[in-house]
Amino acid sequence: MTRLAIVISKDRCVGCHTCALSCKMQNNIPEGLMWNRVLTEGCDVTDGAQGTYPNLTRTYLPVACQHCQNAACQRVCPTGATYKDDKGRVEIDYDKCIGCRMCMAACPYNARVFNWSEPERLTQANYGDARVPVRPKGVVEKCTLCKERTDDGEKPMCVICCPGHARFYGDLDDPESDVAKLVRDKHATALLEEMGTQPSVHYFE
Amino acid sequence: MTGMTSSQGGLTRRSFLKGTAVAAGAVGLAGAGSMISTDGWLAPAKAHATPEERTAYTYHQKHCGGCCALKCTVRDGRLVLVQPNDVGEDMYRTICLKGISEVTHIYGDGRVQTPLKRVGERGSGQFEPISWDEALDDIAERVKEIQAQYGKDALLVASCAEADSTFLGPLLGAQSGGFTGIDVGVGNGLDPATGLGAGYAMSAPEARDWARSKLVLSVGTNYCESSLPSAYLFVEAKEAGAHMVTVDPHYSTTASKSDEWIPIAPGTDAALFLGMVSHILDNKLYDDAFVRQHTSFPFLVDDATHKLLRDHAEDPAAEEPETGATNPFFVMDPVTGNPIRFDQMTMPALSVTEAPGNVGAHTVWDLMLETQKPYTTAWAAEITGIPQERIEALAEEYAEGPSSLALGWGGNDKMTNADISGHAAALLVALTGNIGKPGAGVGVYVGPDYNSWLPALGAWPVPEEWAAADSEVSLYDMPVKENNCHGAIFWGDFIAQHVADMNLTTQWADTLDLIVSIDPYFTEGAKWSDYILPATSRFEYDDEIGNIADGYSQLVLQEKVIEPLFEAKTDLWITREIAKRFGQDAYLPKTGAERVEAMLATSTDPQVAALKLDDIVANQGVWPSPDRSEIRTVADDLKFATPSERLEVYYDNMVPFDQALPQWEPCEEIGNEDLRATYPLQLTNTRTRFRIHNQYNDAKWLQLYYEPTVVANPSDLEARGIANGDIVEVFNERGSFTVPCDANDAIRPGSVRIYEAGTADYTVAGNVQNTTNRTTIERGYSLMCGPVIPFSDTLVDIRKA
Repeated sequence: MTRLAIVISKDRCVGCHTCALSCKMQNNIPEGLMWNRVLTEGCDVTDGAQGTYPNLTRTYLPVACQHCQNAACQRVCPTGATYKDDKGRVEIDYDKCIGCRMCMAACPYNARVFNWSEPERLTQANYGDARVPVRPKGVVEKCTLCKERTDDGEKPMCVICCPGHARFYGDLDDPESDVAKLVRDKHATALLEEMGTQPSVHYFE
Repeated sequence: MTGMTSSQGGLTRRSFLKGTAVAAGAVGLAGAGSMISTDGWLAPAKAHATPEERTAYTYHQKHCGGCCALKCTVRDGRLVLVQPNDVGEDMYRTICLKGISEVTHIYGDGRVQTPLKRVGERGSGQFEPISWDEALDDIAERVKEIQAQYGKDALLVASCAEADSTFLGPLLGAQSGGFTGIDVGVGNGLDPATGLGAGYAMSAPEARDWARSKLVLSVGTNYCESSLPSAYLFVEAKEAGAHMVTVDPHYSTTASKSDEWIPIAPGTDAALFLGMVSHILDNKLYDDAFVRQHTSFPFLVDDATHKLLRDHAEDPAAEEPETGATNPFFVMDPVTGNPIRFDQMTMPALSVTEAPGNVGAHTVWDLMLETQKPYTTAWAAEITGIPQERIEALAEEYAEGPSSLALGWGGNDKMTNADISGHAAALLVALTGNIGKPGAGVGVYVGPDYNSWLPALGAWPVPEEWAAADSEVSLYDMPVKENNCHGAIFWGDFIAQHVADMNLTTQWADTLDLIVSIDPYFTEGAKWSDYILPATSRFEYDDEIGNIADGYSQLVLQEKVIEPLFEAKTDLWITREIAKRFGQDAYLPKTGAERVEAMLATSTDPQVAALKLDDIVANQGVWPSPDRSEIRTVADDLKFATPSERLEVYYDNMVPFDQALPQWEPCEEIGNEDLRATYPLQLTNTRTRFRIHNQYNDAKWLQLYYEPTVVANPSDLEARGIANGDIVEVFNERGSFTVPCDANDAIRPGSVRIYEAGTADYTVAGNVQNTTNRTTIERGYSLMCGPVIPFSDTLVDIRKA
């Protein structure tokens, strides 16, 4: 089997949001929507810190679709629009999506976004990779693990753009892959493991 | 002067630009009407059934030192994708969010779309479209008038780092504005010791060297934001086992990525270094052989003049200082007690007390032992707020080495005592020998293309008569000192960006007979201009090849990615058109390719001189430096670019200011306790990953993450009844600005932080520079690069707006 995944070093992440914007660019994501965001744990301001000066900590946490093996979004999708593909990725068939947003309610990672209106782009034109399908009003979208790139053997755009070299991509089911080794050797963990979603995306310190 | 702010009834920039588009259409600018409105120009891509797609290569900002090599995808004539150029090893495939933001930024409503002529009062933001020919004819005529009446140097041509503006100032014989006052604070104090760094402290090895350090001590630098495309080098050094320690008043991104953050009182870096020096001396932690052989510590200083003993007096009119070989320094023979040429004694006396007799001189070492007496670690703890034992342990760890001392341009550098911190850092390096060996270095590590293997580029040959005039008064002093500047051509936002105390700056600007602003984007300073000329962005060119530059250990080519947008023209085209009106255009390159070929052919490096443009094009616009597999280091042979080729820590020219050796001095404004009673908060204006100075203020994708916001410690906000998210006025006697406020424990109590270059179109009201300190200290004019502008040596208070 193949289980494509991104594994993220929290120590290497410098919170720059390059992953988020490279994703927005690559995937032609319209204004108001993001597939990938960098959170600062426990903070409600940009580059905040936890604690009281000078006893402080800060942890950046990039979050996108976790490509769960037991995906809550997939289980609630009434039309089968959300599916698990043969490479372990959670994908959406936009033609089948009826915009009920059950998946958004089910996703514990808040990774999905919805086209409430006609997509607007600052340049009034499509940008990004021409292979990426344009989504209409009324469908849900989210990180595809750069399906169009990874299908062609390229790394996801967020991985190649990350200035901290904090993002690693590969097949978790291949024990010799970088990501499998990182998960093994660095004791990487997944977000909200207790929910039983079995994410493919992993994080390590 | 805040009349230009959008909140005070004037036209906002956005409505102004829209108005411009309509007006231009109405007057029917020669065929340009349809290109002026964004709406009309940007036809929907889906109109084409089969999009045409191609790839082009260019480089991004030079200003951050990233100069990222970019691979750009163009579809139907539009830039749609920007990613790292995938030629070469992974480490050179850099980009950050600013590069990516260009996909929408270059089409943004911040662009100047057509030449504009001022119709309202300066600062009012009232302009009308004008044709290129009309604008250039007017400008040339007025330049001629000004130069005829007041002399050639009455024209100032000043350029920011991004512009391709090399030729214009010299061809017009204009002055360039003298000292910049920016990024030279620490370097002014450090660089005379090493002879490196050019006054900007750019004396560091490549940041890759950190992985070989035991300690990387970052003081006043936020590498993980300022050098974002190479942030991986910081985390890799940490993973390699270097102890990453960051000293910063605030819990910066770099502080949070370090093994340890040491908070320090703002403006006291010099006190920390002086305390460390004392601890190293008291505990004999210095490298005795290095001190005697590679520094000026054993040099004799005349007791009468307090100047270094030399063979003969220097000719004050000499263009270059004499070397140690032509005019030797003297040391003391520890056996005879006699002065002897420094180059004839391998192990000289460190102190005159090592030998009998009285030679009427003391060594630099003797003087330092005396001047260091007040600077105990207990004293340093009091000044810096760092516990005494932490200062001592840090000094011990630094001395043990190999240690890198990473300094910066964003912290204490922007305060009046910055040179003292640089000079004190030089003492630390000279005592411990933490330079010229793997894992050891000092200076600014930010910006890979500042300290990597830079292939030597030649230059387009210009006539000998083309020479910039001297600037008797530097630009930042023009508002307060009599000078001969009567007109200015600015590439970039000088009025709001390069000078503090903006109310004073704009009063001065309004006295000029001519101001021209050349920029792709509408800046704050543009509001004071008589003419605004739209330049192309990095991605547009009128020819297949634009320019060539040094990137991170490689040459990078600027290819045309897309055609010029709107009515924008390249800097070279603008220069050529002005030159034409002075009969000088025949001397300029006719194409970008012609210039690039000349820059290659005239290189002093035979490998570069042999390069063919087509070969670089074939390699995706990149020529890797052949040396780059090795980490670039500095002064491996321990020969420094000083007259004696040693680290020279005693500054003769600072004797009149009692700073021949670094002496503590508090900052001019934030050290003023009386003023603090009225304005209790230090305003630090630092750099951020979200901007390069004022660039990207208008980038919508970066505005998702940051718009000008003042950040304060929750305790300071509570004391003023201000809640997180409130709109606040930041004020002092110079002026004020109004912005939203964030409560963030990362900010040191007693300070507030805003990222620099918050200009009025992006704040609620006013410019950050309305409040900043412009004081130039007397000593500054004797420093290498002149006084530094102490932007962050600023006291303010805040109140709910």
